[in-house]
Amino acid sequence: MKNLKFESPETLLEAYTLLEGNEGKFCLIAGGTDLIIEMRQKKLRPETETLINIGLLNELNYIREDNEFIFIGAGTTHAVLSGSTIVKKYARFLADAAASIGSPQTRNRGTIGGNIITAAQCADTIPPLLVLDAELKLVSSERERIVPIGDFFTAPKKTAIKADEILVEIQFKKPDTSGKAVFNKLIRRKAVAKARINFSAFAVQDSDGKITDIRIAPGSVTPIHMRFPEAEDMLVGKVPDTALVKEAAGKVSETMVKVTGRRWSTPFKEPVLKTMAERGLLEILEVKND
Amino acid sequence: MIEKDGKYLMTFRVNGKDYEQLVSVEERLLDVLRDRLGLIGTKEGCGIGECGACTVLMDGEKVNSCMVLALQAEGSEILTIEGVEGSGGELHPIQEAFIEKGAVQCGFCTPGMVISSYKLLSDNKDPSEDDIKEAISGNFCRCTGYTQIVEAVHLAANKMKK
Repeated sequence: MKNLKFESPETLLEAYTLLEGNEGKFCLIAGGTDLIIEMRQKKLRPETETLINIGLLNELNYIREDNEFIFIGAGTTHAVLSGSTIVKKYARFLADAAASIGSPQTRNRGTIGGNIITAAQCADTIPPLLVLDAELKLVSSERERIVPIGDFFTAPKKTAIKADEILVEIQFKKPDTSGKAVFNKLIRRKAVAKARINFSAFAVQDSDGKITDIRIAPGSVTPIHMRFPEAEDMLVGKVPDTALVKEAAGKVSETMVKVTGRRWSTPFKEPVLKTMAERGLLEILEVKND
Repeated sequence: MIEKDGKYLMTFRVNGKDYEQLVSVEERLLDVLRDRLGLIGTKEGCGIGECGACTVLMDGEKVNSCMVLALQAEGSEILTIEGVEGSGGELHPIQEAFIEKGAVQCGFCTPGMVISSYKLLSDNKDPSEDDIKEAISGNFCRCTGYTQIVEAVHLAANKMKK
């Protein structure tokens, strides 16, 4: 095997130039918490010749806000994301998801951009970002495009990013302050544990208790990260009672089985996801008394 | 970065001393510390960023050195367990406390535990039990001597206040 080459561009512009005409020979590395394991397991794509280290680019490390949006540089580490005053103020559940990843050591290296691009089924930041309707800014030397995160995942661990592009920013509209959001994670131990199942949701109710906006995204349960619109449709426009919440939670579980088919893990995941969905929804919804 | 025979010249600072090393892309910070610099206090446990035996401080933040390519540490400042002791080789109060509380059993996790404790006590002079548990949550002790380790960090905090 040929020796891998290494480039450490000092600016994003330099990185875009390196990637021009890339047909898979270049591979980006940011925190490296997934990629280094893949390298050691000889799972890098065989055509990879050069690693491009974007981990030192300060241009990718920021969290900003304007009146309407929050902008997160793709190189922001989970540690910074989970401690960010802006993120905690507007999307606490995203900060909670980042804080739940791996260990403090991993959170100091791993980045939000890496979490999205690796697209592991158990990626913790993705369900909240789906719920936030986040948009991804992908840039190359020739073009810049914005892709809704809901359209980004194309197959298991595959995304819509092109070989010459870099994910530079994640942006989302500040959620309605009257809304409530949740991120819950089922794990085998408190730290350094991959999610068995994640559940994230966001809901807004009007003064009569009617649900005007509801977004539901479980994690680790489908091959591709996605929202669960069938369960959302059952709830939107309704004033929920516990029976309706139970029914919607059942629909979440049913949707999972519809997507994945009955697998070896289904007897476990089907009832557990239903329970997690019910608990999560009850955390964020004002339910009318029966 | 200067390339020579498929390797790259990197410079970094470890325990207050400057080093220049010619390393290949695949080498991790852990490999360079142990195999090239002979700093074998930093241990390799799982090799996949879970156990924390290889914890070092990189520019003041704790990282698993098995999860950092050496070339990613270019220009950075590293602290390993060898850099924790005093200039005359005397033990750091954290190391003393680990011995006094019997917080060392097989000892394999100890360097990582000490580095995580060192970082905690640099940021927080008076940590609660929960602070300590959070600080060592990325360090596994398979002898399961956590109670003594938490006690040792408390003791170290008291020693360092004096």
